[in-house]
Amino acid sequence: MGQWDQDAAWHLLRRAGFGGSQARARALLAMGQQAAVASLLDFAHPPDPLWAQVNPLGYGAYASDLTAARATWLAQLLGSTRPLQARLTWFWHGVFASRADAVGAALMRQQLQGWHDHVAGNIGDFLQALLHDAAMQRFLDGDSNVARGPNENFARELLEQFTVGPGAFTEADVRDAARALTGWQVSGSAAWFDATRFDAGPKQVLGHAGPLDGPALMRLLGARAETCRHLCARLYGAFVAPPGREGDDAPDGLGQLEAAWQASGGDLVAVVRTLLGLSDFWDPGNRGALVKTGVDYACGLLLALQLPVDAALAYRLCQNLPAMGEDPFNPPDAAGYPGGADQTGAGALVARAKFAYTCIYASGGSALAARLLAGLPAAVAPAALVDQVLGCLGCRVVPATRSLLLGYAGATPLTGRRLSDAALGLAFLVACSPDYQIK
Amino acid sequence: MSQGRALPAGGLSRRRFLATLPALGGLAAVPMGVYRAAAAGNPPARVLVCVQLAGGNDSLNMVVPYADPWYLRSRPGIGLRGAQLLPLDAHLALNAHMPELRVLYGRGELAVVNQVGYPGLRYGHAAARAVYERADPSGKSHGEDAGLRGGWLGRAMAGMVAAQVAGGTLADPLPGCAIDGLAGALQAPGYAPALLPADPTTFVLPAYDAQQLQVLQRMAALGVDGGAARNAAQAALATLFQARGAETGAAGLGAAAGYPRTGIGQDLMGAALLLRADPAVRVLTLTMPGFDTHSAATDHGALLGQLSAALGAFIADLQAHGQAGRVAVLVWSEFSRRVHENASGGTDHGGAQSLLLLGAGVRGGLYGGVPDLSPGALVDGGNLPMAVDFRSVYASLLQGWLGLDPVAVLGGTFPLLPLLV
Repeated sequence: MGQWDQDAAWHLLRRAGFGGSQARARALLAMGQQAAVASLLDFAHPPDPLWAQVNPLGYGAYASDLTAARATWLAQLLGSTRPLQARLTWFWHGVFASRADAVGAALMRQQLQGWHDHVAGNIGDFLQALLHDAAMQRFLDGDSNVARGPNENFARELLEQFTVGPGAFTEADVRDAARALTGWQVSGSAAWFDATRFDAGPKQVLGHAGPLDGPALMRLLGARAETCRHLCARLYGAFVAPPGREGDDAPDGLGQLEAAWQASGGDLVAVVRTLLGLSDFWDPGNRGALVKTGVDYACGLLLALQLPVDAALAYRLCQNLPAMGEDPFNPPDAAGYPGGADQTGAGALVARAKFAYTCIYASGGSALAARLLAGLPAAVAPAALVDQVLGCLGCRVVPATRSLLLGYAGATPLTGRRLSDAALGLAFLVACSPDYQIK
Repeated sequence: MSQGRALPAGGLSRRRFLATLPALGGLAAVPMGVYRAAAAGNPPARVLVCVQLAGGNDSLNMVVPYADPWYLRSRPGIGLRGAQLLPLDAHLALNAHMPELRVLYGRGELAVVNQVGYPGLRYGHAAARAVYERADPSGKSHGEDAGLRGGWLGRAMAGMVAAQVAGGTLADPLPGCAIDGLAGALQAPGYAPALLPADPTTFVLPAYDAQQLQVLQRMAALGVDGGAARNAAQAALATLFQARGAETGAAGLGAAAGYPRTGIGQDLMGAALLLRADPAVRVLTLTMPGFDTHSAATDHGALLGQLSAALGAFIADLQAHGQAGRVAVLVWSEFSRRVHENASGGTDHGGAQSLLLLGAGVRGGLYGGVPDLSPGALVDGGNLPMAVDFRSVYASLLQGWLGLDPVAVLGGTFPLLPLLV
């Protein structure tokens, strides 16, 4: 699994969670690689109190206020004792996507709480849960899909985005899958099956003929090799490296992931365990291959700077997240959040810089400077200060960036006010650098 | 803290920045020029603005074949009639939510191209959007038999830049900018578009001291190939500094009046500011979401109303500033919708669509014939077949509007349409 060093520990924190602090990276490093990975994969033992509470920050208009719902979720991510489970919940929300603008904040929170359990289970059970999820049924018009006039929205996204993937089905499959999904209703926060609205006639989906209903359709799709391929590629793209360039062969690690999926019958923990053991995952050439999403950026910076996030700060931060590249709970469509270069447009970069400025100068200030300088003597050489700040942020930079940071830090040892100003100034510059926009 | 190495007088010039490009080894990091004053004596070039109606626009309820008896038979619930229509001729009418576009049509500045599609219509959002963005219906973006690479506008921009570099005449990299939305059509090997927020007046990088801005400006100009992800971030930072320095110029243009406070209204206001402030902008892409009208929960007419009002304000703004003659707007979607309504008061994904092209340089009128909605004329279980290949519209715009070789961009020859004056 490659060399186990500080850089590898940071890599694990960024990819298998939402980042962390230098202290956390050192703790993982001391555990050894196997134990560090195993600790992240333990979804059963460490209590995760923030995920167990419905409204841990105590917002008043919690149920209806989308920003409050996002802020609650942000606090849960930041304070999670099982960061990989939180990361996987966010990943599967981007795969089995619904939009708060269409269904409201409360149903989205309910959905994420449900997904949080299912990421530690089997893909077959997860797919069944889509049927029973009120946000999903409402977002994709499942609740108005009836025998006398099927609505294809859910069926098409189920085939194209959630299971077998583009190119693996026909228009006839969409139509009959839509008929199989008829009959579901949503009342309040519950989705339920009304047999009087169900089309009980014969259907044929992907060559499988019968009186398919929703559960049978999900079983059929969950067992397909195309579903394994499509979803493993999504996992690989989110956790390891972006999809190959046009014309490239599929990476070896993807084949190993598919093999683990098939061998375990779609056990998602077994698949993720394999994923975190792939040599592709640890390959230094893949470090920095992914663009940080807005959520990656915000969480990573808050955790690295160890800023306390109270209800007011979390709320304000969530108002800024859309501009940073990602509108949590509101993916543009059922394909989930766009990744890659769209995340780092100039507009997103300005929003990130403003966020970093607030964190470092408004929320951080002298207390943050003291944390950044912990363990350093009273007089610090510029190069030592640059390395200290880079270490606190867990950021590797290209030599040219480091030279510019050194130029900012000056040529003579720093003390007192100049030292703390330089520490904050460097933290801000690192946070704005191209090197910090990637993971 | 000591000062960093002094910046060259006048800051980092655009030309100096471009000089770093060869060191990037073909990396897609063409810098963008925005908000710069027009070079004296150079007439501003023509601009193409592309508005994507994301989700699949029901163009049968936008350009309504109201004289076809199958229209209301297929759509007893959502079909439009009487005062819901603004007739264009004896067969077709605009949705009455679009009075501003009806005015443009009357002035001869709105072209409607009906029955637009391609062989082998696709019905999934992502796949169909990719066909229009890449101008490639093969759908093969990976592997040895992959078709054209990247988006059609990105290929057009990359070609422009390459030709100018080769000719030693690179004065401007002729940027393409995406405002607040999907940029797939503008991304291509060798070209990275500028991704901008809707409101250009918020486009200001914060800093604690002037030295930080200097360091960031130098960081933006680093000629480092650090892999695709870092390169994208580097390009974004470069865009930012191309934008800085003239942001006061953009602010000085004054707030535009009359734009509706809708997403598309604000995006078009930003687009107008941008193309007025920077004569190097050639292509702008915008996205208006919400058109996936599977059920009555989404009010398609209201969306069209927002679109029409925003476009009306945009054209009026351009006219007021003497810019109308150099801007054309193409309105497209990934597909249209099923001819028959479903039981949810909506429509499922469908086939051929109507495209809109508007502007003072457009030859207004109806193109592509009148769709036939009778059951025997439909394909793929109730969808409108294509009569006009969308690449004919692209080719006409590439050649007639942007002055580019359509064959080089589209990889083939398509009949041109007389869409331009």
